[in-house]
Amino acid sequence: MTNLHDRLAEIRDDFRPDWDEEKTQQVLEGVPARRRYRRNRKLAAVATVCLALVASGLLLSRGAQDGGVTAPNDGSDMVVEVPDDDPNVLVLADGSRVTKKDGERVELVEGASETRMTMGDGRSSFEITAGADRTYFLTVGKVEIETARARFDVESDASSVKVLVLDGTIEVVTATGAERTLTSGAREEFATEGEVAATPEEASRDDIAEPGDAQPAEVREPKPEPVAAEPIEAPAPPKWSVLAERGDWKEAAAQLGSTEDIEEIEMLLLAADVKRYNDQPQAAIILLDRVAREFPDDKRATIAQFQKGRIEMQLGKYAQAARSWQKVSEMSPSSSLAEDSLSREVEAWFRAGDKVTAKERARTYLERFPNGYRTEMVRRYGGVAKP
Amino acid sequence: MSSSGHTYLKQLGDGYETDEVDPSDFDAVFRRYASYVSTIVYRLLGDRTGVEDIVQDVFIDAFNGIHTLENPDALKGWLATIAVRRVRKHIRRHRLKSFIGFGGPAEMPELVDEGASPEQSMLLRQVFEHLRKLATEDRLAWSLRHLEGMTVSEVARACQCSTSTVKRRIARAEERLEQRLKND
Repeated sequence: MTNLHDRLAEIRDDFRPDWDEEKTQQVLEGVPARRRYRRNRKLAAVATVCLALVASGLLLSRGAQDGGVTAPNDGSDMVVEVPDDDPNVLVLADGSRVTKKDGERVELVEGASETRMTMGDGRSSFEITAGADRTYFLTVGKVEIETARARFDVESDASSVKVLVLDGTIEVVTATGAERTLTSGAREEFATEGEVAATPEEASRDDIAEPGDAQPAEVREPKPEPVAAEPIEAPAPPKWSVLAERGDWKEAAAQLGSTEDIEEIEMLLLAADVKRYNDQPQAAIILLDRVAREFPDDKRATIAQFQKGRIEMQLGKYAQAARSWQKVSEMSPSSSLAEDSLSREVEAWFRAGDKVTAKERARTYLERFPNGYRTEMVRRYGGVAKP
Repeated sequence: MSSSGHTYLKQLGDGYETDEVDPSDFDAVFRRYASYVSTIVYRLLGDRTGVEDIVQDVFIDAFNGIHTLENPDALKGWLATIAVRRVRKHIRRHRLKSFIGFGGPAEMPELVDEGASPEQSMLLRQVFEHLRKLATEDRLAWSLRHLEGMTVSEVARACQCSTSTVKRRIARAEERLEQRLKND
């Protein structure tokens, strides 16, 4: 093969596209049209992929076990562990973990190099480990999440899918076809718009139901239509928020006027995102501060505080970022954000030049999270040597 | 695009050297790196079809996530990571379409040097014919290493996995390629 490598190296310079400055300009001019196309693209491709996987025999589903997480079929390459004492947890061979907190079932199926999960209404946590030789897809209604390494929480109901990324990166394709990349600390809510039409994915689950499936009817029964004595019209959401949900941040900013009249916490957080994505970090910070002040008992205030720390860090306001993250730990010491915040706080103190506090907080982190996933970074910034 | 990304770079001031282009200036970044990205995409696909769309998608993705780029010096590598992600999606979609009867056959790669020998052109075609039969991740790792010329560490960063995973994938691809090329 060395000979092949050498021969390929020889022709490498000539193995490239015909691309000059004129081509660059031409393709650049096509970018706006491409953006519009991406916005309007349907999720048909997702349904088609699922159908093809079923046809190829790659999509297999085990009958239900007690508990909320369905394991891959026997004989799969991945060894799966379902702890006896917690049927709502699934631990995969690569260390990835799915935890159903409440609500409907989470189903998991595997292919040769990818794992596909589906989730109904409820809350679940996903921990997809680094280095896995596979890609994980999670479908929640009409929203699809893809990742190779991340920890994230998902909460789903009839109208929306809420995602909180604790670590790593996920990609989200929304119900309208918009694509978003979310990284650590990101919190987004995606509307499930339009009718929930029967998709090939739902049909395929029916087709491949295993005999003896303990609860197939329960899983697949369509939800009853809500019955109301009179039609109740919900107030239309403000235009800027609809645009923001779709990822049209620039257009959303153009529609978003004064933020003083915003009263709901969801809208404040969304408006902060609009400001952030439109390079108005100070304005975003002001809105996030309002969340903490006006909704101190709401768990989302913790997320707002975390986000505030990130923005301050990006602005080079290290001491302020450290204090924001310190507040996260105080507001919610046992939350999933606490470990992340504390580790970031150590770095922020270091960058602010306060190595004494950085060391002190590093020791706190190591005490509270001796097996934490950021111990190395914390030791480095905190100046705490390994024992 | 606004210029606050430029402000962001100035305010950091802790040893970062600003890139020759302002990462927040979409047009400037596109002009600077489009050729680089298109080369990666083309070398991974071996097929001109879809290169322009993928290149546009890469830059749109990059600007949607520009706030996550902590080190401006890493812009080029970051674009490569996004390019690999987009190519991965493209390959899977194309495979699916082929499987269910849609989508035409992929083009064969060409060398820009019209004076290249027939043997060199044939070599490239043979390699791609077999590469396209490999598992996507193995194909990407091997192509980045031996067609794009990246180091193992660079491949790992672009594929967002560990170097040991990269080595495993490349070894698997090598074994299969060697077998198939021998049988040709």
